[in-house]
Amino acid sequence: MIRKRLEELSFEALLQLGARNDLDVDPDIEREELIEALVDTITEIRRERDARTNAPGKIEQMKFVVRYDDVNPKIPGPSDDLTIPEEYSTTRIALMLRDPQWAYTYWDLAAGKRAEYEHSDRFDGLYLRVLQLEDDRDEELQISDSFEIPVTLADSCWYIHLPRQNAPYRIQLIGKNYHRRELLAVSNRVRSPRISLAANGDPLSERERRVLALCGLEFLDVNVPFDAGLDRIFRL
Amino acid sequence: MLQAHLPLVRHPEYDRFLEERWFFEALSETYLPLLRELRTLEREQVPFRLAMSFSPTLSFMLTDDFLLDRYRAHLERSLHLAERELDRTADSLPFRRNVEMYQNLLEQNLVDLDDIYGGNILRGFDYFSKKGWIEMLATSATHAFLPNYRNYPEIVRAQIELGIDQFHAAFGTAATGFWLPECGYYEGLDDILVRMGVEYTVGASHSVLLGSRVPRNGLYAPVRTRAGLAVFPRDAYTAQWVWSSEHGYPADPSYREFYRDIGHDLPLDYIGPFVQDGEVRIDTGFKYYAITGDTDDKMPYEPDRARERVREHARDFLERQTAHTERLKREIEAEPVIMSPYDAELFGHWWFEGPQWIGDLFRVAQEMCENGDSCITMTTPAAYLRGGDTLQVLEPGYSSWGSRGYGEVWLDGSNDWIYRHTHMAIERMGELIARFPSETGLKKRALDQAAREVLLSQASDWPFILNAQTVVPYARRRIKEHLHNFTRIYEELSRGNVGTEWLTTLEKKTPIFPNLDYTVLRLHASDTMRRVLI
Repeated sequence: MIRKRLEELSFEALLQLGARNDLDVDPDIEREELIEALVDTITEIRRERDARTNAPGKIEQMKFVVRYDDVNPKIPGPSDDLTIPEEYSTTRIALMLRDPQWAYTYWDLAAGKRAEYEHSDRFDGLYLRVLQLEDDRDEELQISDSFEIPVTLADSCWYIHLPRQNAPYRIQLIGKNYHRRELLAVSNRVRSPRISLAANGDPLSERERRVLALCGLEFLDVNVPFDAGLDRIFRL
Repeated sequence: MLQAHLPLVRHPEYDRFLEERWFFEALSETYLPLLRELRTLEREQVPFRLAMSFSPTLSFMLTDDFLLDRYRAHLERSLHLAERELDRTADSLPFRRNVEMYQNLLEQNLVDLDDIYGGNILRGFDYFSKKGWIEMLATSATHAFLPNYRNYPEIVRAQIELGIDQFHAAFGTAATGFWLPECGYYEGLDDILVRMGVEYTVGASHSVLLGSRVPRNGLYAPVRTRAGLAVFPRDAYTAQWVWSSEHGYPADPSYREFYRDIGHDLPLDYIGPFVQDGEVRIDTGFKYYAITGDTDDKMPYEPDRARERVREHARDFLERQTAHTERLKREIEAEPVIMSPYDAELFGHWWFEGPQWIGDLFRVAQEMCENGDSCITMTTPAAYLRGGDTLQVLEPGYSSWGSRGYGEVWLDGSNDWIYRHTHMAIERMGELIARFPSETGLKKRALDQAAREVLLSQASDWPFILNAQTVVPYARRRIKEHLHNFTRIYEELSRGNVGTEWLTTLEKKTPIFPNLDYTVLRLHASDTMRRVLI
């Protein structure tokens, strides 16, 4: 159906679609060749989209389908002419959980501090210090481990790999200027979620294994600790 | 359990607006057909039990005269198309039968909406709710993915409180259950829900499976958090049987094909008046083919054949459940509880025959019970909890029903930019409330609208669409529009110069939450990230 719909578009519309899909189009490209390239590109985009979407996601997508955007060069509706602030003149850093392995952090720098760093000839960059904490209830920062990620003044967000599951984390935004480390902001605290069963490390009982084997784990991205013996159940 | 939700899409500034069709299609293909199916069950004296939630944005749209008038006009246009299609397909019986089917559905929808429900179909669901056959749940105000706002407990509280208030306004009763948008849960959310009077919710499979301890009954019994919230974990199998677009029931070759629509198949000089601006091909709702298989050569849709498959699939579902229940009974301590939550719009919109399948579930269940084959009890969460079973105490973890079970759908490279701004809007709203704690008149109107814009910017639908890469320009526009409106109000209030005309336009465009009091978004200093010690 993709080809059929593309075939009824004008050459100009096909070129528009190509541009929208980042297709590197030869200026002398023939219509048929362009359609062929678009079919491949759109099919690949759809395949990728399907691969990263689970069943509820696919159904939810259907709620919002009234046209086939990827084969439709004309997008009616309001233009994207509204502006929102690009940054906020306040110094802050926030940490958001994405999944057991990754968190997302974004930060802002107050205009004065940004200007100070921009004009300093001794400015040695910004750093994200990722803190793994001992306890997530304690207000004090009892650090069990940490590592640093260098970022630049042009950066304002980063994805952080969390080395441990079920552990509390915070992030410090640090500026290095005149060989001094300035603590600019500290994020909120997050606890990385669990990804494995039997979180406390105890082995699963025989009964627990049998029950869990009936829970459809094959449909869920859940780490099954093999030392707990679930692999044997799956083989059965 | 069915959760019905659509984001607020309402554009009086345009004569016709494409994305309003999300609402029209859901009304035509899901909500009204589902009500017809439930009425049929009632006439047939087939007992049924369902749990349902209607998001406040959808509830608002279902009772909004402006959108309903547009829906009526949409139905009239579709009926006009049906008349033309009857002529066009006069010599092709299989297609003509399909046209007649759509014509009949469209006419029924018009009659049902106005003659039966007086322009408010929530009355239909409320009728069954009052009979005790549907258990209604509340959900959050604008369908925010709450884990992404966990740093702002007062916003989470406001989303929940407004959702509960809206539920009360729509159904005149208090909700004991609360549907968490996208099953989004995080540690501590239970405290807020319990303080709002919520007794139970539904969790993603991950929430309980990877909770603070191994769930002794797996996913087949609710658990209780220390705060006292009952959490029913979602069953992975029933999800897969019904949801899967490759292997689930909706993929059966006899069922109606979703993607083949005459809006895309027929020449523009014919279909032009029924698509966008006469030239942009869109779905018209007239789909004449069966899924057939993995081929572009589709067979004409045969409703009678599909009807038979619906019944077979309902029986298959129940037989699988029975077999699974028998296996579970050998291993777990209590009677297994299978929680099967679905997006309501799956049934009818995506899976055309879905409402019939729901009806047949109850019909076949009754037959199986009467024949002594097996007897699965259809129940609802509150009804189950009234049984008084002791629940295992377990703290569910951060989770969602999105891809891979956590938050990557609502936080990835396509949509992460949103949160810097929505979070700042929350902080600035807190600042406004601190500066204007008890305003009246124009300032209060501006502050209420600011609160409205903050809440609307948090809808999970926009990051979802950005992640799915479907109607990206519209989703981006909507987020920016709410943030832009908020920022302008924030700046105008800061200058002491609020534009009345512009404010009135905004109020008319988004008249949702008419009784919203901006102070509901009050932030306690302790709740903001700024308190964090440096």
